[in-house]
Amino acid sequence: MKIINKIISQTKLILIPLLGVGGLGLLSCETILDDIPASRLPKIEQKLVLASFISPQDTAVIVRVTRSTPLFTDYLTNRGGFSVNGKDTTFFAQSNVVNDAKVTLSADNQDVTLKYDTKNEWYFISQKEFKIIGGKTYTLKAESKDLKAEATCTVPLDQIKIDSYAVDSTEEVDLFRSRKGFQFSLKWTDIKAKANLYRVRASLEYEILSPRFGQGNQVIYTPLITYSNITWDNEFNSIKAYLSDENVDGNKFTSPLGRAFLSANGSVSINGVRAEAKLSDKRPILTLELLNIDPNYAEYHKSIIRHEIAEDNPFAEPAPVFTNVKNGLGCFGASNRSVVVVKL
Amino acid sequence: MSYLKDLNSQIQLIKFPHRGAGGFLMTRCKTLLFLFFTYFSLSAQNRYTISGFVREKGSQEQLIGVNIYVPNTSIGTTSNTYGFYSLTLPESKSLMLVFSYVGYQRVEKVIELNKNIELNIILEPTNELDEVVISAKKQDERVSESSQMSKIELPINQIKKIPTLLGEKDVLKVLQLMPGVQKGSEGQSGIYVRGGGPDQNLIILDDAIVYNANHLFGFFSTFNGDALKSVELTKGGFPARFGGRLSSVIELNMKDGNKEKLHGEGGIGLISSRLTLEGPIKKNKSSFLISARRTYIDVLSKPFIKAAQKRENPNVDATGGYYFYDLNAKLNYELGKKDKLYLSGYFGNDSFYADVADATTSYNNGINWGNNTATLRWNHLFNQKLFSNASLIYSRYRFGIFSKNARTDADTDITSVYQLNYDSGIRDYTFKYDFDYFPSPKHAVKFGLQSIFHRFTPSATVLKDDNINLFENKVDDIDVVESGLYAEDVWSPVDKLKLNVGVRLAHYKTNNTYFLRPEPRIALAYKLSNDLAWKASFAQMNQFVHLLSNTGLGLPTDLWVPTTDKLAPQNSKQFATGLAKDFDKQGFSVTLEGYYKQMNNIVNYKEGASFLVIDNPEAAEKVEWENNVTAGKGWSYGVEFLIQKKVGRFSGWIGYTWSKTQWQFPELNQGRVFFPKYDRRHDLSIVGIYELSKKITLSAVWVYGTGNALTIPLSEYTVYNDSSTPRNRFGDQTRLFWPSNRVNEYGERNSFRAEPYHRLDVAIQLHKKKKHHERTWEFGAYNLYNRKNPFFYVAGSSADTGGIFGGGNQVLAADNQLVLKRYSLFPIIPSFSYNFKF
Repeated sequence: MKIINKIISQTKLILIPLLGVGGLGLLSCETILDDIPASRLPKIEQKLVLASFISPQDTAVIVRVTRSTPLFTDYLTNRGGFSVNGKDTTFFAQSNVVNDAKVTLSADNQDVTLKYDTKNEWYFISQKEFKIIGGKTYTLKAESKDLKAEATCTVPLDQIKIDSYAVDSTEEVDLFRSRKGFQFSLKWTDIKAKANLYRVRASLEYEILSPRFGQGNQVIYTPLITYSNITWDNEFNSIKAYLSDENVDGNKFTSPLGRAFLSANGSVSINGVRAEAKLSDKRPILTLELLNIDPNYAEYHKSIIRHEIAEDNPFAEPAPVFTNVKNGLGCFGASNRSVVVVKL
Repeated sequence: MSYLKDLNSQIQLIKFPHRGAGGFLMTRCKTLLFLFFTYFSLSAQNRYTISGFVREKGSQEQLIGVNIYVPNTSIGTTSNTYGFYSLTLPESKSLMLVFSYVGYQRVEKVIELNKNIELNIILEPTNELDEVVISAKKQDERVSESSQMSKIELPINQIKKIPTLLGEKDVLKVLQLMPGVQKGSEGQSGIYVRGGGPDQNLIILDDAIVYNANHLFGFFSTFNGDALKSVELTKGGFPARFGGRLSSVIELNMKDGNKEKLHGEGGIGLISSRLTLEGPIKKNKSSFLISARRTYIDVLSKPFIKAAQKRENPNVDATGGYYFYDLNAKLNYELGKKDKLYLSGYFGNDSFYADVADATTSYNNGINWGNNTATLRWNHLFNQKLFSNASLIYSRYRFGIFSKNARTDADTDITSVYQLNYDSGIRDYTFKYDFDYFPSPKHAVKFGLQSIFHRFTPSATVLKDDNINLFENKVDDIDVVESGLYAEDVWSPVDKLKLNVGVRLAHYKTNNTYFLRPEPRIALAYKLSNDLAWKASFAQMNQFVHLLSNTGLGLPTDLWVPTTDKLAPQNSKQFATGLAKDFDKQGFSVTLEGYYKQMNNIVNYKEGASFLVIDNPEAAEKVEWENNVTAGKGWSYGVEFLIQKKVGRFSGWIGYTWSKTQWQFPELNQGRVFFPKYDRRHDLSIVGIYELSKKITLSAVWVYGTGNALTIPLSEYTVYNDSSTPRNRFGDQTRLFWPSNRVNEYGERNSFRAEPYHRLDVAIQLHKKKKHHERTWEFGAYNLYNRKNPFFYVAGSSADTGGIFGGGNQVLAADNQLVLKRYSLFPIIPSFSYNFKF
């Protein structure tokens, strides 16, 4: 499979000149339009954006509340961005955070108000205070100034057992380097006569030793926890991680092949002495998860992937991001999940 | 009228009694057959047939669509695709026949008709400057004469005088200047006819279907004007001989090649150069034509790319580039008076390549796409009234990606190679047999059949790797048979009325689907006065092949797919009516037409579905295309006005269209009606060509069109993913709910109208006759007043500068506004070219 990865990266090399000559390269000019009368534009208004994914296996409920930034208005957009300085990329925060909202969560005529966490810029409540239970329907409301939004979702009843999993070591070689990594998959059995949606998720946690020069140009290594990118069937952010039992009800399921690699990037140099980052001896930890998800969760996450694909192509039909938030945007979704933690 | 009486008596005659119930069907069939032949072979006393071929003086090129008529009567016919005509008339001591054709001197013949006569005619091209005299002679082909409506014919020599982008003459772009025909995006050769998409055009070159008529992503069409004899576009009132697409038929015919002497034509332009040679192989018996065109950006830029790469890294060799070429070739041979053979072919290819190599490693990557067609035709004249043509046709469109990497291990000196080839495309073998039957001046019958054996290859991947000894070969072919059986009759029951009545039986078969659909076609023209006709038509069409196009641009990744059990055939019904008037003295004609078209099962992508295989061939290969498309319906109506002057010192046209197109798809825009992207309320083209003197031709084109209907972002917001798995939810808060991205909120589908599109192009041609050849310098300007026409819009932050790819060393300001940005493509683009003829 490594070949395919290489080919994909190579083919992207071609894509750039292709698009370059095919259109964008010939673009003669970019004009910022500030003279389009409002009557020509579809109706635009600011909305509250909610993001919350609840699960009985979590220790808390967390809700992000932000605002959308309409076109041609005086609302400022704290757009996220990045600057590149040599090999370092610094990301700016993306925000438009709403910190004065009243956020409530309710089920079975019981409701609670969530607290705002200034450091993390989110609203939360511990599950000790408000328990999330499989099969129950929850309603989330948020209110800030004259904006109101509301969403409902039902937590999937069943926590599906992971029947088995397989992990193998693997290696990726390309022109510049070779990396060690792992490939893995999960198996489970679908519950009969029930519509189920699944997501498989994984994370690979490992430690690298990051170099710096101390006194007398002595190299000092600092341990640093790092997470690897995960691919499913060789795609980052893969839509294949989302599965449905439509037409295969009650079957045994196998996840797509997941892969993750260990890499220690970065180096420092002083007076011609160069020190590279390296992997520590600490064993990596692989977490494999099987999520039984509600339709809102599935549609929302899949639509984000589609949106990103369409956004890369200025000629493609736009792909709207799914929302189940009334009078607002974003998603209130739920999962019921099983976890396996593997020390490698 | 005596003719009608004859017919009635014949019908009476065949009403003989049936012989029992069992023989009923048989008798019915026999009756019909009998009726069919007696109907057309009514033998009035002493009728004789005049038939023959009409050719051009000098080249012996057979002329298509020449009017042959008896003056001051309604008796007349036109020559067919092979220049053949036939007229059967009562005996006459002195019969005057007129042969007239746009741009040629008319010929009048007086004959004594007391036997069947073969009469071949040679027409001589006229000099445009002498036109004043000619038009007074009513030489024009008259729009009020023909029963056909909604048809556009382009004189090739006019195409060569119209200013174009970078001086590349392009027939499809000239068709876009006609009413009812629209362009898509800036500079694109895609054609939108009466609310239909570019997938709904049947483009046929010498009987062969051309599946992708684009070079360089649609900026240029695949057709080289030097090799063409005629171009016709039919947008409604389709005759029964055409089928398989909903919206239009674009029929192109290649020149046969000069039968008398060697002749050449060519040009050197900014983008490409071209050369055409034609001449006799055996004088007046057989001839050839070969015409080639190639771009040379890649050749010119190669040293610069190499040098740039060397500066960056002297150990690495890199080249890359793009080119396209096309080649038209034709041979014909006269076997005898009654038989002719034609062999013609088209070969075109676009190629993108990038090669990188250092001491141990080499990469070769590329993308190729192109059409090949080949047509073998046999004309046979059974008798003076029955002409036939049998065609064997091959057509193929292929899109491929190749990627090859060779790596030599420095220690072991072993070279390992891996290779991936991805292919998609369509391949056709077609058999076609057509008959032209001219029983009497009141009838011109065409009938025939056509069978296309399609092989669709939505994707085929070949993967090789020495290292792990991997070899994969995935082919996903679908075989389909598509056939049509048709009959049509141009029938003139009374003097003032001309009908074209026909039916086509469309048949389609794959492994698991089968369709048999009759398509009735009718067109009529009624003469209100000598130069004014009222016309109406109705046509039903089916389309069994669908084009999956991601972008609306002519990208090579556009994929033809068949109708399957999940994807029904598209079909349409179109009604059109209008008036056609000739102004003989002034030498121009005016047509006014209205149409209503309904389309069912048209195909579009689901929201966000993607087929851009370039990004990831391996993933695309697994895409279930049937699940990514959705079907819906659409309707379109409009009014078209055309005033056209085809010949003369000043020629050109004004075309205006008012139209409205709407779509409704259950799965798009939440089932609500919306405007497709290329719905266009107003579309105006003004084209003028003026022959200032024998040495100077001036031309100009001005176009105006309502902006495209687009979906634009209304606002922007941050989406959060439930993407991470911290083992301790509060232990690793930064990764929890990692903001995925800023995304856009869109309004109703296509609810934003882009700004109107308009543009002025001009050109001047300087002709000079030299001793052995004639040369023409052309200087032109595209978008003369530098209008910034919208190509697309994006929403972005007001301080965000730089390319659309983002990235790079840019720093985005923290606070700024969200604004709409317009990207436009072509500013004023001057061009020049040198053309010659000998």
